[in-house]
Amino acid sequence: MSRNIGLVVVFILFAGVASAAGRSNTPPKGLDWSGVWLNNAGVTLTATGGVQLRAPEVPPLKPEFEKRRQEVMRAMQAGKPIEDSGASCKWPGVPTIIRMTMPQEFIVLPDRVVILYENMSQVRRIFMDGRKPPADLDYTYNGFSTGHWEGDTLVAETVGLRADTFLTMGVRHSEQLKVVERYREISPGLIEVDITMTDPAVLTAPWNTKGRFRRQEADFPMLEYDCNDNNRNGVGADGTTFTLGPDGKPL
Amino acid sequence: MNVKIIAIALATAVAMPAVAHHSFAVFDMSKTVVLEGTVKEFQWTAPHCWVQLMVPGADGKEVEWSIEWRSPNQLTRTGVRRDSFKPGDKVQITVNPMRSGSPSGSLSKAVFPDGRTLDFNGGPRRPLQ
Repeated sequence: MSRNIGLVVVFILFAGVASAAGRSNTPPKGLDWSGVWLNNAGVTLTATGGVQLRAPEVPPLKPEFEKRRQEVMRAMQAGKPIEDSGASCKWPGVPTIIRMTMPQEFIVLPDRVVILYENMSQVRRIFMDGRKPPADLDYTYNGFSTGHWEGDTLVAETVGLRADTFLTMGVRHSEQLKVVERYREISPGLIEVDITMTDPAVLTAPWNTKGRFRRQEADFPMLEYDCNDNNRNGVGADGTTFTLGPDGKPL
Repeated sequence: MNVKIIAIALATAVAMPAVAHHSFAVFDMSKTVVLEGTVKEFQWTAPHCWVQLMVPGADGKEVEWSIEWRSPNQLTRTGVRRDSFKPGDKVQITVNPMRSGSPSGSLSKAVFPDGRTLDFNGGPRRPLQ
């Protein structure tokens, strides 16, 4: 009997080691994510100077949120955009900032990965030292991120996201939102992120999507971006956006 | 419109600009208006650059157009600089006009008398895709 228990213990220990294979708090040897990476967010600049956008994604939204998303889409198509948080220069927050067409840097350190976004000069820290989010966590734009490495994949889990920022166009998430990002360099100079968003208050199932980041040439500059410097757009009392003319009055 | 409009054309292919800041749905991307005027001011500012263009109207009075462009961040990386438009420059600018009819639009193309050309994305350089 005791010999059997011993075998079971040995088996459990072995299984534990096997499942943790490749899981680490420190970055894999030789990983180099230096430089500036441009989030292409599915956008291509065409040869003629235009912009080709991928089709809008449809998350698995609960019916009331899908209804709202369609209302916002229709308003956009009618030329009267509503729920356009960008126009007021509010920080986009996670998950939106993960998927915006602007450059970023990955600062890979032993105890954390810092992502520096050009967009509104935002900073995210992904703690890799095994800590847990504090029990009395405040809800913030970019939340609280913890992570680890699985082989050459950076895995980050983010919670504590404030509910007045957006999940997708026109739809806010709840405070229950959890975002898991998995970053991997799938070919030299191309990082893919696999994003899974879980929010039982808004989504009927986890929403999975992907993004890609292309490493830019060495002279590609990261610049300041103060959205409030000269924001001539705004959101009116009815939720529609407006544009200010040279006299400071809406056009 | 009480301004000198050189041409209005319906674009056959509609490309919605992708902007980090706000929706461009206030502009009618299916229409273009070609303006000829003199630069009053180039606002090289975030979140968007603006060209303030004085355009002579049919009655001889000038109308000030507010022409919205991309961010200085995006434009810098294509070769545009803060002095790419200078006050006093004569320039022909094609815009996607504001739906409301106000003298405003999204910059689609700018052509200077010496042939220098800029477009919505900026200058000739492009980031790696």
